[in-house]
Amino acid sequence: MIVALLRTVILYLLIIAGLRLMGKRQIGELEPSELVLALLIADLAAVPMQDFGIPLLTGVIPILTLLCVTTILSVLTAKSQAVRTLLCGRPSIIIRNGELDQREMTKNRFTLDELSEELRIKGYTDLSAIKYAILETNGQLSVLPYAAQSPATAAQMGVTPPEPGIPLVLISDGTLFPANLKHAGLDDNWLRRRLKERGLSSCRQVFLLTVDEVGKVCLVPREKAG
Amino acid sequence: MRRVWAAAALLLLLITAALWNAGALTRLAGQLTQDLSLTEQAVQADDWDKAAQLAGQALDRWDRHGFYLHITLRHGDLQDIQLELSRLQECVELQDADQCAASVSRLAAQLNQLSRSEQLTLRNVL
Repeated sequence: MIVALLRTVILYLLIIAGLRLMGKRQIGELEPSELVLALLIADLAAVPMQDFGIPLLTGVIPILTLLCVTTILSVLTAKSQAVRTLLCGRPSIIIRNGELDQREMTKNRFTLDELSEELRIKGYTDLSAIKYAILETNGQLSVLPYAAQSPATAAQMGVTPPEPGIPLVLISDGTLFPANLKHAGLDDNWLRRRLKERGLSSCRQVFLLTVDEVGKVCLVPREKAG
Repeated sequence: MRRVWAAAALLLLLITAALWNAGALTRLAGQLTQDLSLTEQAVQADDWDKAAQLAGQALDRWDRHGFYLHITLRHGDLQDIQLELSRLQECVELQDADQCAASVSRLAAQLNQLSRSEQLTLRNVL
């Protein structure tokens, strides 16, 4: 048991160190320690589940050990900048004032293709429009454009548009959600009128019907099966 | 902060329990080895009644710790020792001194291995 406990701690720290060395690109959206925990717990739980010749404790003890170590590390991470840097790394500035930092890209093994792809996903095609692009510790790229290249906001234009809020789904794939209808302050008569306007007679003919807080309706009729 | 203290306390409890387990296993292996050694001496002295009593005592001691052993150790290793203890009893009943010596030797090695595998040593950790 003590051997299993110590081995668990050693392997956990080793895998975190390994992932930190692999760089941010391999991590995705999780912090390194979270990814390690998810991978290890899944595997540790699977072994005693499959092999009845192994006592349950050999799975339970490493899992409890991991949870304890993770809790302690997460508190240390929150309290200490040094521990946070050690476990999660630092964000890397890939583009600074519109110029690529090739050293940072090499250090993070971040290729030009990957950078172009991330920028396209975020709607940027011109490097010179970007003030900063930062590779975060969770592997995501944050893009901050120059102020002159940023889309103008309603406040900057002196416009006060109505606040639409979150659209409520009233009908999804032919199924009516009466609770949402009531929550939006609407009733069956309103619903029948909206359907009739679009030449529909039943909820089953609707693929999607939403309404926002200002009463804007989005109705998508269901396509007839070919 | 309360959560970190709870985690630290649980970790400490796990370490204590694991160290206690290693110690308890060493003590049990030592007691069983002692029983087996006395059994072998009785066999060599041709005192088969005493040998049967000591072999039975070893088996009883093993059975008394059955639950604890099953929740902490690999079941395959335990079954091997259980079978060997039963075989030793048969050998004693049949008064086969050579088989008894071989069985005691195998059991001593298995118990030693069982105890060593749970010790906090660099060899085991690595």
